[in-house]
Order: sequence, then C-alpha cells, then structure tokens
Amino acid sequence: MYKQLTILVLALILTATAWAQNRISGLVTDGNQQPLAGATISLKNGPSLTTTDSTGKFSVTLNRGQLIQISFTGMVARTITITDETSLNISLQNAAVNLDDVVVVGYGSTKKSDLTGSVATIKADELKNAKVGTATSALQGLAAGVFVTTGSVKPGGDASVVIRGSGSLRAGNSPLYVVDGIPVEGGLQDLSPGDIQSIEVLKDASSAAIYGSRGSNGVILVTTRQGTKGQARITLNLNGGFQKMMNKQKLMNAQEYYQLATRAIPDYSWTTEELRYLSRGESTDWQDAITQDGKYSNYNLGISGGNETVKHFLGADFYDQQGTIKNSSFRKVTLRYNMDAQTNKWLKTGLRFNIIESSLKNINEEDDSGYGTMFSAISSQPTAPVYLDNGDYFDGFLNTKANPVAIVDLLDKVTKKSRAVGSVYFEIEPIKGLKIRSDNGGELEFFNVNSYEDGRMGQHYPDGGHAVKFNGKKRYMQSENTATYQFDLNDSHRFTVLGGFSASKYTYESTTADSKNLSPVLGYDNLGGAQNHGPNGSYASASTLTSFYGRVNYNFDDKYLFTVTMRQDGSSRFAPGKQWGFFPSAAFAWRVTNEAFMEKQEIFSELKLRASIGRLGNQNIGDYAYAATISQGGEWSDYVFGGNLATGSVQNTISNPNLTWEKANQIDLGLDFGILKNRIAGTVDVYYKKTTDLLWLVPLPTESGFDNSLTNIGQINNKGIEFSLTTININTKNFSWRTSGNISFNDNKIAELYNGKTDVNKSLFVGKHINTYYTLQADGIWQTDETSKAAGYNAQPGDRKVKDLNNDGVINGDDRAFSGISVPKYYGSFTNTFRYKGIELITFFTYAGGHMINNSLNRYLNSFNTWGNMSQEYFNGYWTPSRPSNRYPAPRVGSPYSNGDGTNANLQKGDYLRLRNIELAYQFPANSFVRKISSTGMRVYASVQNAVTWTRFTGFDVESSDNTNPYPNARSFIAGLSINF
Amino acid sequence: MRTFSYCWLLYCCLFVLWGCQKDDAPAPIPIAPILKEIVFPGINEVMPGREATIRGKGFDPDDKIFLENETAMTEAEVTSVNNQEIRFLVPEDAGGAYTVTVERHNLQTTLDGELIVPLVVVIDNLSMPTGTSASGSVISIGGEGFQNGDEIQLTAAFYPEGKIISIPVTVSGEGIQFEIPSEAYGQNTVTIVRGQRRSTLGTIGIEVQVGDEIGGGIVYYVESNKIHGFIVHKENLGTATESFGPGLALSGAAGTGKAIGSGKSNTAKLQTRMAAFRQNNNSWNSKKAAFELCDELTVTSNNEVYADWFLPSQEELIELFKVKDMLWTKGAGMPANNYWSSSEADGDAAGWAAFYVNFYEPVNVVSGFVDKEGWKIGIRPVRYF
Repeated sequence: MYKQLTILVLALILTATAWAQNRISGLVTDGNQQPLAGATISLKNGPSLTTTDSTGKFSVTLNRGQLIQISFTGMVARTITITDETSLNISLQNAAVNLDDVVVVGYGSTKKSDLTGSVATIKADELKNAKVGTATSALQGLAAGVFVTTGSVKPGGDASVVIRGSGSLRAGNSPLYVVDGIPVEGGLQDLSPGDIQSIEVLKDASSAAIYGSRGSNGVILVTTRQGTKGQARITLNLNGGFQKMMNKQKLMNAQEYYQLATRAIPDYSWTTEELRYLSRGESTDWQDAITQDGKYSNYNLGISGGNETVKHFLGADFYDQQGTIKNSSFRKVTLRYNMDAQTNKWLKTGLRFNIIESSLKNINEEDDSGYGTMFSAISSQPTAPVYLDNGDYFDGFLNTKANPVAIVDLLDKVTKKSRAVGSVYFEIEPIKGLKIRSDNGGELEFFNVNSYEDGRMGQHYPDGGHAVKFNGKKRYMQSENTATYQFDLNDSHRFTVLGGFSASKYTYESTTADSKNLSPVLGYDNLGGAQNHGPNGSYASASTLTSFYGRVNYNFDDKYLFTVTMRQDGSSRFAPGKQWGFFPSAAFAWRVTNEAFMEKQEIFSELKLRASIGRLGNQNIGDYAYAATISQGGEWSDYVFGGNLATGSVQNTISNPNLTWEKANQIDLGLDFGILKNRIAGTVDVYYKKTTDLLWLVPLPTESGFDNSLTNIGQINNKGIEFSLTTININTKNFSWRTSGNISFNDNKIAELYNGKTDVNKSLFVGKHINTYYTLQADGIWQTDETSKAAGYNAQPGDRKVKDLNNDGVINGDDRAFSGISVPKYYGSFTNTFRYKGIELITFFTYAGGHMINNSLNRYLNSFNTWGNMSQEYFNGYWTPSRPSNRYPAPRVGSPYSNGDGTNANLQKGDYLRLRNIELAYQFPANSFVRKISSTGMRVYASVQNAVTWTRFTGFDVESSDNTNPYPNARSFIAGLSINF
Repeated sequence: MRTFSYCWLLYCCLFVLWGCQKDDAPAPIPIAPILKEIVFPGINEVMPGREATIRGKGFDPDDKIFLENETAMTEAEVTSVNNQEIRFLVPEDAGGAYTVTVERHNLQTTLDGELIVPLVVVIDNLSMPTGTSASGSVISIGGEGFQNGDEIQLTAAFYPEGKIISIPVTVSGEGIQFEIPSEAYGQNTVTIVRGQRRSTLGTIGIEVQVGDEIGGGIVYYVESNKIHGFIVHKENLGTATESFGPGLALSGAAGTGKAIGSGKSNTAKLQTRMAAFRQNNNSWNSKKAAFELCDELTVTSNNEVYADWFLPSQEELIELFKVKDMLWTKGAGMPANNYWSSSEADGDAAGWAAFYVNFYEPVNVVSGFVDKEGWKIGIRPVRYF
C-alpha cells in the first residue's frame, strides 16, 4: 500500500512539475542594449500575451517547454523556448530593412514601403563610422550611387559628392543639400553629425523633381534630431584621439641628394649652409619638420523631451581638430534648438534654429600647388637646414620657394565664420487630412578670411609683409507654402496630393582689402599701418527663385503606387523670356509581394519593382551669366584723357539672352527586395541620365572681340547600375553578425559638344568619358643599344621613350592616345558588425576602382628635376649605362619627357580598398552599474580610422583631390564614450 | 567578463602601440668637409705671418687649416670664416707651395690647388730714403724685421745683364745702413735678401755728373734729378762716311721722333723697318745702316758688357754737340764731321731723309735733314741710364 501510495505521490509530483506554470519576467533591448518599449511577446504561432513597458520589461506566466516569440517593428523576431529560467534578457537586432520606416522626401514624408522613387536612407548610427571630418565625408560608402571623395582632409576641409555621375561641364556636379527644408551651399561641413536624425539621398528624377531646377545632380535631405514625447533623454558623446600622417613620401636624404645633384649638375650651386649641413651628416626631413601628430576631440550633448503638445531638442556640439600639418586647425561650436508644438487641435507650430561659429586655420591650400606648404616640404632640398646659425630661417631654396617651417610658423591665415540658420512653420489642419503649412526661414552668414604673410618666410613672399582681409556676407531667405491633402476611397485607393509655391532670395556681398609692408605685430588687424595699399575690391550680387510645384501619390491596395511630380521654376539667373522652366516626372511601383499569388511563398518578404522618368534642371551658372558685363577700371579699361589717366569701361563678356537651364532627363528602374523575413534585403537600380543644353564656354572667332560665349551646347549621358544589400548572417541569443554593402557602376560619355567638334585642349571628346586622359604613351627608357634610333627623336640612352604611334619619326600631339579616366568606374563599401553580448566589433571598408590617377607629384619625385628633392626609389633606380633601368630616366638636365609631362608616365591605377573604420565597443546594459549614475546605457569604444589601405597608388592619398600639394590624410586613433541619461 | 577584460586590454595595448610607433631618425654621421668653388689667393695676396684668404663655399667656424709641403704639415690659425671665405694666418716661416687641408670633426678634406707662399722678407713700417744720394754715401732704410746677415742688392735695368751689386748691411733698431759703392749709379732697385727669401724694398737715386766715366762711356747729359741721363761711346762707329741707311718710299718711314728720350725707340723702329726692307731687297746685304751699327755695338768695360747702345735722336745729338769740348778732355772727342741722328725728316721727307747735326760748327747748332742713302757722314752711339 505504502509502495503504491508512494508511486502515486511521485507520479503526482512529476506531473505537477511537468505542468507547473512559471512566472517569467524579462527585459527586451535593441542591439545597443537600450530598452525597447512596446515589443510584443506572443506564443509561437499563437496569440499575443503582453507587450513591454516603457522600460522594456515584461512579465508573463508560461509553462516550461512553451515557445514564445518576441517581435518589434523593424527588427528580426526571436523565438525562445521556456526553460527553468524565470528571468530573460532578450536582445533584438534590426532587420535588414524596415518597411515601416518613415522616409523624408521633398516637402513631406512617406513610409519606405510606399516609395516609388530611388531614395537612399542613411541613419544617424551609420554616420558614426566617420568620426573625424564633416558630415559630408561621413556619407562615404553609405549609399549606392553616391560617390564621395574625401577631397581635402585638412581640418575643416569638406568632401565632394557626385550622385550618379557627372552631368555638367561647367555648372557643377554637386547635389542640392537641404537641411530641415533650407537649402545650404557647400555641403554639410557646418552641420554637427551628432545633430542628424537621418539623411535621405534623392537619386532619381522622380524623387528629386520636386526640387526642379536645382535637382539635376540629386538632392541630399537632412533631417535633424527632434524631441520625442516621454521622459527627457540626455545623450552625451565624448570622443577624441590623435592622428598620424599617412603615406609619408620616401625621399632622398641630404647625402643622396648631394650625390645625385652633383652627378647631374657638376657646377650645381650649393650654399655654404648646405655644405656645412652635409658635412655634419645631417639631413632635413621637411615632411617631419612641418607635420605633427594631429589631435581631435568632439563633444556632443543632446537633450530631448516633450509631451503630447510640445517636443523639443537642444543640441550642443564642440569640435576641435589640430591638423597633422602644424598650425592648421579647425574649431567649431554649434548650437541647435528644434521645437514642435501642437498649439491647439488644428494648429501646429515649430521652429528650427542652428547657430555655428567656426574658426579654420589653414596654411596649406591645395590650389597653391607650386608654393604650398606640403609641396614646398616635399620638394625642398634635404641639404637645406631649417635655420641658419644665427637663428634666421634658411632661405636658399630652389625656384624661389619659401622655407616650409617658416610657413607653418609664420603664415597666419584664418577663416572665421558665423552662421545662423533657422525657420519657423505654422501648420493648420482645417479638415481631417488637409494640412496647410507655411515654412519660412533663412540663413545669415558672415565670414572673413584674414591672412598675413610674413616676409621672413622667404623668397616667394614679399619682404615687408602682406596682409589681406576678406569679409563676406551671405543672406538667404525663403518662404515655402504647401497644402497636403490625404484621403482614400474605399480604403483601397489612397491619395496624397501636394501643392505649393515658394519664393527665395539670395544676396551676397564681399569686401577685400590688401596691404603690403606692414609689421607682423599689426598683421591684418590694422591695415592702416601699412605703407602700401591695394588692390582693394568689393562685390555684390543677388538672385531670386520663384517656384510652383505639386505632387500626387496614388496607392492602390498597397500593390500599385503612382507618383506624379511637377515643378515650375523661375530664376533670375536667366534672361527675361528664358527664366521659367518646367520639370515634370512620374513614377510607378509594384509591390509584388502583396499580390495574391505571392501569399503562399515564404522566401520574399518584400519585392517591389519601381520605374520612374523625369526631367531636372541645373541653374548653377552664377549670377548675370546671360548678360554682357562691363568692367570698369584697370589696365585694360583705363585711358589717357587730357594727359591724365582716366577710368574707362569695357565690355568683357558677350551676352547670350538665349541662355537656359541644363536639363537632365533620367529614367530609373529599381527593385527592392526583402528575403527570409527581411533578414536579407537589398536594392538594385538601373538608370540612364541624359543631360542636354550643357552650359559651356564656346570659343568665338577673335575678330568678335571676345574669347568665348557661355552657350547651351552638347549632351552628356550617364548610365549605371547600383546594388545594395544588407544581411543578418547570424542572430543567436548572444551573438549576431550583420553585413551590409553596396556597389555602384557608372559610365559616362559625351554624346555631343558643339558643331560635331571635340575640344582637345580641354580633353573633351565626343564618345568618351568626361574625365578622359589623352596623352602620349610612355614606353620605358631608351637603352644603350638604341642610341641611333633614339637620336632620331632627339633623345639619348637614358631618356624617356615615347611611342611614335603614327610612325612619322616625330613625337608630337598626333601621337597621343586615350589613357584611361580619372573617376572610378565602380565604387562602394561594405560593413560587418559583430555583436557578442555587449561587445561590438565594426569593420567598415570603402573601395573604388577602374580609374587612373595622375600622380602629379611623381613628375618631381621620379625624374631628375631642379625644383628640389626626389624619391629614394628614383635614386636607387634611375638609368645609368651600368644599371639600365627601364623605368626611371637618367638624371640629365634637358632630357625630353623625363618628368612624364604630357605622357601617361605618371598615371597610376586608382583602385583601392580601405579599412575606413575598425571599431571595438562595449555596451553597458541599462541594468548594469550605469544605473548607479542614473544612466540608461553607456557605450565605450576605440576606433582606428583609415587603418589600412590596399592600393597601388603611391601618392599621399588615393582619395585626394590634389596630388601635388595635398593635405596628407591621417590614420586616426580614437576613443570615445557615449552615455545616455 | 574576465575574458572580455583581457581582450579589451590587449586591444588597447595594440591601439596604443600602433598609434605611437615612430620612425626614429638615425643619428647623423659627419663626413669630411665638402668645400666648393675654391679660389686660392694669388702669390701677391699671400705673405708669411700675414692673413690669407681662401674663397669658396662650405667653410665652417669649426674648421682647422693645415698647410703641407714636402717636409711638414703645419696648422694655420683660422681668424675668421664666413659664407664666402676662410681667413687664416700664414706661418711666419712659410714659403713655397703648400697643399691645404681642412679638418672638421676630425675628418679632413684636401683642397684642389696649391697655396703659394712667396719667399719674401717681411719688413713692417718700411721707410725708404727720399731724394738722391751721392756715390759713396751711407744710406739708411727704416723698418722692422731686418735681421743680421741680411744683404742689400742693387739692380737697375741699364746695368749689364745679370749685374747685381750686393752690399752687406748694418742692422740697428731703426733699420739698416749701407754704403753706396762707386759702381752704382742712377736709379737702383733695392732688394733685401735673406737666404732664399728676398723682397724688393723700393728704389734709391744715386747722383751722376756730366763727364763721369761710367757705364762703358762718358756721361754727357743728365736730367734735373741727376739720376737719369745719357752716356756716349768713346769712339765713332764705322767710317766717317756712312750712309744712314736705304732711302725708302714714303710709306716706309719708321715714325721716329726728335725729342730727348726718343733715340732708343727710334733705333728700335728703324731696326724693324730695316728687317722688313732686307726681306724684299738685297741692295744692303753687304753693308750696315747707321742705326744697325749702333744697335749691334757691345762695349766691355771692367769686365762688364754694355749692349744697349742706340743712335741718338736729333735733340740727344744736339746735347752731345754742346759738350763736345768736354769729350776731347775725356779722350772721346768727336772729329769734325756731320753726324747722323735717329730722327727721320719731317713730313713727306721722312721716308728718304734723316736729321744730322753739324759738328764742324764750333758753337752754333746746325742741323737739317739730308738724303739717308746719298749722304755719308759720322756715327756716334749713346746709351741711356
């Protein structure tokens, strides 16, 4: 009996254990370990059980062995088997795509799923891959079809952006930047990346057409952070580090230079200081002498909050960078305040306000190639000491260059900018669905460029000092007024109709004062103390733009999406009668996955086909370009009247009243897809852009009295294909791996110039790329056994051999051939993000290829020149009879084509792959020790920017816009802390 | 967590190491001085015991200078250096050719070329006598640097070739003294000699009187300073009937002068013309012109040979006429005759005629020009001192 009773009790206990219900509590967080409020906890394939509260916590009663699913919009759902654990920490990873994301488009926003055009969205998190530099440079690699070149990496220097290839010869290829509805000139360099909520890149005609005459090069829309209702949130980001110059050029030391120069020029004129220096065995490394380890720090504070009626955001940002070239720096302080208020039931108001104060010290202007700081350092002979025995700067440089160290010590060049951008809006909703909005804002910018050139810097600079003061003021005002009506018919037919008009005015004025012979004590702060003044000048201009625009979005049953956009712009930049332009576009999208026949398949979670067509314009030709302009004064205008010099006037340009917009007609076909519940998502776009009526200075017969006339001519075609892909490769309880990448191919051709002609002098050829090299073909070095053949070309053994392509016995322009293009045929990036618990490892690569770079520095470094130093590689490899190099010519003054000018000798493959950011971070969860400091989360990280670059290019930087006098790129070592309260 | 901490620490170390790596520049290794565009001073710019300058680029204030010849290497004291030159003191006892070595940081460079230090006697604050002195008088030369054993040498261009009059000197605190020997006359160059070293100190003037028998003849004319004048040969040359020379075409005139002091150059010019004449003519192959006879004359007196005779100019011959009586007293009288001068006639006559002086006249000076070849008269050579 006891035995039976015992068995029964045990059986009951086991059964009760098996069927016991556990009270389970949990915390749901995102990838950054931040609590997710509103996440759904449901039984697998069953009903919803609960949702997380505002702290991301939930509590449910479940049986052991049950499967629950935790899901959140835009994130990959997780399934968990209930065990004995009663406390769960669940981290959800972002899905490869979130179709419910709100995407900002011109004058409105839409769900990503409803997009018909080609729009790339860049989230604020993605911008963190670039820490040093501007927001523009941070765009690199983040969107397919958006080619970002770092251009200048000097402190404060900005990147350049070209979207879907160059379509203009003269009117610029930069996109239109719009920040919170206000167009801004010159990129995003004044914007603090920490203030950015998202960036949308409008690439195709359909999406950009709403910006009409300014949209032909694409549009970049920036939305800054706004307040959110709920508990106040404080975000503090602190990061800083140091930078080390990359790709220092390996140049000859003094002893090698002496050996080579003496060989090439036996009566080379040395200075006593150089000879003493040589005897001491010393050598000046001018690159080291003018460079240093750069320093960088950035502090960003964001405070956001709000309630049902008012939301606000306050951002403060301090950026400080000491460049790798001494005495170059950039310091910027920005302050932003965004506020939105639901004043009453039908009225909403708000403001956006941003002030920026910056100071840029730059002593190396890229366009100062022949005498710039870096070029001077590279080319100065290593036999020259920095200082003389008496402490003065050495000033015996070749070709009247200045002492590079004197430049960095004494050149005082500061650009100071004060800028305020702001807008206020009023939005009323008189009836449901109809919103009438008036957004009025503007920008006011004062800037001055002060420079003082101390005569002690050396030969290139005037003895008594030279100061220039340039003051400028820009003012932009605009009024955007729109009415948007959203309605639907039978739930299946949803419409959004937008109509609006805008007016804007831009004014600019500047003053330049130039003085010479003044003390360095006064510098540019008291030009009155100078002995000589002038030339002084001033300038003013203004332009206006008036526009009417409209857009209709039609959504049929979430399957078929139509968008029709039109804009009519009137610009003062064109002559009366030619001022108005009309820019229409249309787009269609088909969400295939919403069709009935796709319901049963489980592969595609999203499949959308898009097609768009439209026309865009480019009015970026400068003011008064259509008019004949008169210049007054100056040596070409003044005349003698009655024995005295009288101020005269002369017409210096010919008018063209028929001047009109450049027009870009574009077709785009796109495919958006999401696979396996959006664990894999991507986009493919194919486009064809035809730009006509190119603005170009057409040469005129000399007897006309003018050199050329700005005229609409020719046609450029761009076509390309873009791929972007994001995958969630691994997503387990503790480990996730996410990969995203993109690649873009662009092909560019000049279809027509004018009258069937090409412009050889400017390397513009019909049927060829706009950036084509057309050069003689270098063919090694003439060798000793070719003496007689070389003599036929006035060359000697050891000279550079150039191919006589037409075999006429003469090397001239007829022997040129096409030698590649200067812009990449393909470019892109890929990112891998690994997370293990709180540890995160990010690797961000960018790449480009298919192009050639004219390494113009090699014309000095890889041939004997009388301008200064040369490379060690040249020293060890130049041709001699006993060392018959086929690469570097002999050091002979007068050797033809030795420096490669006019040939393809200095063209190098520009292909590169760069580990632009490698970052290791640790995210302290909200329930860790950070609670003790009232923090909701903290992230610490260490990052190396530009860690490794694989390329065959030998110059300072494969991405530099200038190779003769570049600001060298740097490898940055950064550590940071991001903490939320 | 511990694993993470180790990983994080490792990463941070790598981060710092990667960032802090720096290329250490090698310590400079001095090499021998490199010196360019070297220009040595000329021999007249260098003296023992004095500062000398080598021009060139690359000299350094730390440089040492060494002078080396076959026997020794001597360091010279560097006095100053700038970007264009180095200055140094030439050793007192230096003389001859030296190679110059520059040393810096114990490394040496020998310059291309040689420093030539002349073998001179250096006299400071030299004070030469002014005015003239009589033969046999004592001369005093002031200065510092004279030494016992020094010797004075007198030389003059009009002395026979190779003639040097050596005189021992007496050294005093003020300088030296020596007596002028009787064989010395006219303006003499004074040279101090010490072993191989010699320096020219200047000139002295030794007075001469008309009628003195010196220089292979008899002084017949002296200039006002009494240290220059003319000496006449004691005898006529040739016969009493010698032609002046060939009559030449107008273009053949030698361009002679008549003034005192032109006789020597007249003779030289006539010799040149005569040489040209002889190349194209043979009419004078067997005879000599008057000026040729004078030019070829050599006179030995006191074992010294005087060979600088010439045919006097018209004015020089007239001065001789004025003292013809004195010449008879010296046993060198000039028989009555007409005598050729070396002065050709004036103007168009220069080619065929030359001046003569009539020594028939007792007092009056009679002189005219006559046919060079048709007239045959006397010749009396003179020399200048």
